[in-house]
Amino acid sequence: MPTRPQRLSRETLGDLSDEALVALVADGDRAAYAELVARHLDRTVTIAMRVTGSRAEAEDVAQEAFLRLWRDAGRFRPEVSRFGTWFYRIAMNLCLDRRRRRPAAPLEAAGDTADPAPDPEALIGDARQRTAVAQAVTALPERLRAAVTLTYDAGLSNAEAAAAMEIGVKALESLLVRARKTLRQSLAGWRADGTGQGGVR
Amino acid sequence: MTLYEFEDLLDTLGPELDRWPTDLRMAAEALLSTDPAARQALDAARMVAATLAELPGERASDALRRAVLDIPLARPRSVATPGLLDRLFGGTAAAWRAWTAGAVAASAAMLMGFYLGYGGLLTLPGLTGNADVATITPEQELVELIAALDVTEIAQ
Repeated sequence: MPTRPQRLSRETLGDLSDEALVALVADGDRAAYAELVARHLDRTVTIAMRVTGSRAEAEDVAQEAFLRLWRDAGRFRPEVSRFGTWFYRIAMNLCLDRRRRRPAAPLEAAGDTADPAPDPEALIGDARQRTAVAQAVTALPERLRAAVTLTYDAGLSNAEAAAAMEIGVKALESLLVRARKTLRQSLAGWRADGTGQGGVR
Repeated sequence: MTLYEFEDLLDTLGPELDRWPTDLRMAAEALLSTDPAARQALDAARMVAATLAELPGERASDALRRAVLDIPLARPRSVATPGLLDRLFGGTAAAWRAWTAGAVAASAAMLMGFYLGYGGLLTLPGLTGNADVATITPEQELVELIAALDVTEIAQ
């Protein structure tokens, strides 16, 4: 069995792929774990926030997802899937489990989407547009939101997102078409300067 | 093309009309030139497509980051380094495995030899007791002749 260096420098770890880092984590390497946290924690929170609509729940999901990464790294099979597919499937399942366990909450309780730092005047329109789309995504039905989030926030390919949701690629593409339709209808007539037909419907 | 068909194509093919098949694009452009609702649908689809990829991301709080980084400390799962007994018996175990492997191979060879010889499944010229006469070698023939000689005749 090939041996590995006892300690890899931060720079060396930074050069490794996610899949190589998971292999080190499976051997109990905390530095490799910290590198994966640095790479994926914010994105995990973003995805969980988008799906659960709650900051507190998103942080719980992220913590549980990384606990499972630390505990179950030995179960990851790089020959079967990429790290992102495996890890975001864990995070997505945690999100969906939480939503199933709690009663439906009104949209107003979904919490605010991220409010970018004060924008220069010229960027206010773009920022409002992004906020409007983010709100519309939050209002999507659960499976549509999961498909959009895995594809756009997690950056997974259609095949990877389908694997993460444990559905076929055609089914995922169908969800994305329905999501785009719902978003388009929600945002029809929206204007960033507020002079349109009144924002998100 | 109806507005309903146009919207379906928008959601399936995306808002980049240049990428649509020529016949569909020409029909869509004809509709857009006359129907304000189609233009509004196209604007909304373009906005969604342009914005989805740059939705504002969330940043983990410092408290969460600390808690997540502390998980390995709270649940250590490092691979145990071998202790004194492990090292001691580790070396012995390797030698034991090598010795037993050799002993097993030798025992198997002996058993096989006994089986073949005792069962008469294999004859070795000059060594096998019940070998056929036809297979007697010249050396065996000589030994048998000497044994058959009358020793007293030689003495006279």
